[in-house]
Amino acid sequence: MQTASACDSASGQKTQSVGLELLDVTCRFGDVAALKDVSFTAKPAEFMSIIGPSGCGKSTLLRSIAGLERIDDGGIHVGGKDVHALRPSEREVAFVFQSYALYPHMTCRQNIAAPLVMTELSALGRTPLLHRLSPKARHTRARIASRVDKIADQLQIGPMLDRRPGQLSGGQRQRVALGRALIREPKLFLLDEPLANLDAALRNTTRAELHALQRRVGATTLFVTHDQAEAMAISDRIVVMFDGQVRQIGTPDDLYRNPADIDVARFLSQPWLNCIHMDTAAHHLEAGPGRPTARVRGLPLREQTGVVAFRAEHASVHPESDRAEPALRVTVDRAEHAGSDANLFVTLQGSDTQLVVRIPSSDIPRWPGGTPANLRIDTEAAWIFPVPEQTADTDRDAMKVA
Amino acid sequence: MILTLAAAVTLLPFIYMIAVSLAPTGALWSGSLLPAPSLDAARANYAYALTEVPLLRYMANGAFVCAMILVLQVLVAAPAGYALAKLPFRGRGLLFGAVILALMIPIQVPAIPLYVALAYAGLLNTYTALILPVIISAFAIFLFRQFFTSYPDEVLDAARLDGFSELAIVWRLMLPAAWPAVAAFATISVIAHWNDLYWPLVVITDTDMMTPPLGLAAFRSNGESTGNPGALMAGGVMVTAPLVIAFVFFQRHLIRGLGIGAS
Amino acid sequence: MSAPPDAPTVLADSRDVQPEQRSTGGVLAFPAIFLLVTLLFVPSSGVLIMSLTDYQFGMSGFAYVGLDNYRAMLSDARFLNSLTNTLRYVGTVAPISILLGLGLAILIEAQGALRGLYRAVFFLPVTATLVAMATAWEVLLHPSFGLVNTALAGLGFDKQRFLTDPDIALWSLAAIGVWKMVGYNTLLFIAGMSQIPHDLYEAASIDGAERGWRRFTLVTWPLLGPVTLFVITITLIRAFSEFETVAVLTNGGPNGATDMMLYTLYEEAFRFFNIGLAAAISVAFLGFVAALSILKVRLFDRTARYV
Repeated sequence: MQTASACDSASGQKTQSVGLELLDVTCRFGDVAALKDVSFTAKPAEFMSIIGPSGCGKSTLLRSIAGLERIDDGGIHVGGKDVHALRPSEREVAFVFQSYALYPHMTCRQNIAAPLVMTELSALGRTPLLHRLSPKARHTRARIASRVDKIADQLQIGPMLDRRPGQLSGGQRQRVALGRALIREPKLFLLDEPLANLDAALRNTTRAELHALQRRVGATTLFVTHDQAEAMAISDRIVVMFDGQVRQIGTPDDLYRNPADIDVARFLSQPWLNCIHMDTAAHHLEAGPGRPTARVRGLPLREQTGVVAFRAEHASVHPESDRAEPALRVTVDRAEHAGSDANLFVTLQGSDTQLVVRIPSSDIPRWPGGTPANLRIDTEAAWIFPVPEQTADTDRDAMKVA
Repeated sequence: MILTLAAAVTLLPFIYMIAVSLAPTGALWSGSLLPAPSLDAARANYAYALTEVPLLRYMANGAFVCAMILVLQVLVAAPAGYALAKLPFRGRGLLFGAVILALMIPIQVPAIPLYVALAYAGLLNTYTALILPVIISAFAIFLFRQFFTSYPDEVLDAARLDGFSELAIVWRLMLPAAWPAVAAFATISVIAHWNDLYWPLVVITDTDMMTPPLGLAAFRSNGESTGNPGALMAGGVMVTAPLVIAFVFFQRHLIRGLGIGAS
Repeated sequence: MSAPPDAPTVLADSRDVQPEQRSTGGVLAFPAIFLLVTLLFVPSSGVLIMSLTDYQFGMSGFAYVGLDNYRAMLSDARFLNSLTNTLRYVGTVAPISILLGLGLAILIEAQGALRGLYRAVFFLPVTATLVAMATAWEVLLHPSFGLVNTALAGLGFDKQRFLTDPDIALWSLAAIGVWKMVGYNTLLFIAGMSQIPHDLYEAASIDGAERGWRRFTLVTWPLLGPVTLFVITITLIRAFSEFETVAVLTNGGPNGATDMMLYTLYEEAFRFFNIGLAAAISVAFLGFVAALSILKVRLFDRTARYV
């Protein structure tokens, strides 16, 4: 029943897009569990990113899917087919490594052709010189050559084909690595931080190209990155992992607006997530004559426990004299210019809690260091989370997406 | 100044060997420092070395034996070096210990039982007798392991995804990448086995099977009686020339190779 | 978390990947393991056993004789003479070729344009076929018309029978041995020096040790220490294993004056088929080389850490 997809790709058609299903995948290195019961499904042609702090298991997950890491429990299904008994090369997945992992002594042409040479040519056909003896090998070689040329055209690396990886720039090497992945017409693309070794400017353009390429090829893609902005920019959905476990899966917008817990919220906040103890926040917001009960998303703070959390872009600063709305009383520390915007770092008065507010960079002169100010929170965009200090235990019941 | 003198002393036997090989025997008694060369004498000396003694046969034997030894040594050692460097398998630690132990055993030690075994197998005076005992090189395994260890693991993963078998990884990725080590080892192996006298002396008595040093040594014991130093030196020049010429061409690699081999 | 219904099989099968890689490692290493055992360890153990028995070629059985062969070896006049010669040879060749190698390496490194040429020249004896070069030396050292004697006569000295005078022959072979080994040692020292970071020399020159002896004692020598130890062990082993010059030029003569250990071993084993004695000599030879090798391996560790 699952043979249909295998036949399709064997017939040399454009790769049939298939989904990926992970069922309770668990992977242990000695006593340490690198992956704990990881389950999720990627739809055909979907572009999914896996993000999380370093060491959270995202690369291990990708390697497990490729068959490079042995899993201790659970199942991996590519296009409905269980792949656990298959070698990496039989899984019809392509992998792009952070270091690109190009074969250093081969030309780019040989690098890109390698997957086909190794799988479609017999040992005789691969032997230098001897391959001329076999007409079939000659034919296969010609076909591989034309496919390499086509891929090279697509990626615009034609002129570099006869150079070795060592003679190329990072961006060119990355394209060669992509070419080597594309030529297999894989059902599944696994990209392990493929942009991490590029400089900032190149990363943005390559990111867009990568996205366009994926749309064109239509292969289901898993993209591992530690850069949340990158993931937000190109993903259909994002898997957030912490400590070998999936913490949340959702569209970029889901994740941004409704983080499952404080870790996810923190991970998706720039430069950081502001957190204030419930009591302190209530005390500040209710100070002053005739203030109503302070609420976040409708919930009265006095009745909650934990912290109030909000992003820099969900707060604003106002002169100390402007007391029209409930606000936190802060003192300005410094501002960091970030183009059109700026981050204003302030300290909550009466404590040493540091907060950050997004302001237009043109406003920087208005807020020299030491200025007292009022900080207003967009209470509809803020969250209430349990106190984050005892992470491991509290995380599991921290499903409060208020 | 000291260097020049030392260089002159170093080169002296080479120069003298060439000079004598080009001169008539009588010129040696002339009392001059270097015997005067003559075309006729040169032709006679080299012709004698090539015809009266099967010198070409010796050199062909030497070339064949060295090539076979090198190829087989690499064939055996490269996969083992790769397994030691990159693949976990039961007994890996034991094998590495065995390699280190084997590094300490000079070839002359197992010679007696090997000789007995070859004699019983009727393999004395064969290429097999010259080649077989030395196709295992602990040094090659050790050297390849050192080189392979630094090969990036991600590239190996990529290769497995691309459909390389583990053996294909060894031949198509590891060895080409480790070619300085291969060149170094080839240098050491060829120099050692082309020039070796001990083992051929033990297992070869048949003139047709002799390697260059053995053939030359045999020629010398005769040459003394016939008093033909010119022809003997001509033979010496021809036996020494291949490696010295190769050395001049590949000097950089050879020196680096022996440097690697030493450290 | 609830396990999927087929969890047990998934668990069992997914472990296949690992054992497969495991067996691959074993398979790839197998030829080497097999050959190490059959060509090296078994015959070497065989020698050990032979040295404790009265085995002879062609004999169907043999008996355990304990340490008799070793006792015979230690009371054998030829072996003792050969051992003495070997130690005298090693004691001469090793220090001279090492010191000369170090000196030449320093001089070559201080050279400018001709550095590569000198390196090549001193390295030539390493690649050259020693048997051929030995015969060349023989002609050079010929008692009547050899170049060396011609030169000696020209300078007013007596001609010497370098290879046939029992008082001189061993030293003639030692001279050839030095000639052969200096180049290799020079190369090793040069390799060692090239690994010394250049900024150390710059630091030394700031500290006032700009040139010559002070710079050598402050930087070069201490950092060359591990390489030096390595050169010493390898030179000792190579000198101890000298065979070609003896076998080609003197056959151990005149009168045993140049008989050395490996030549004795060869003759006892393969000419006189004196297997018990030869096996005992093999074991003694192994003991010496292995002791130096262990030293070398340990120094290798140190060297690796040093540089």
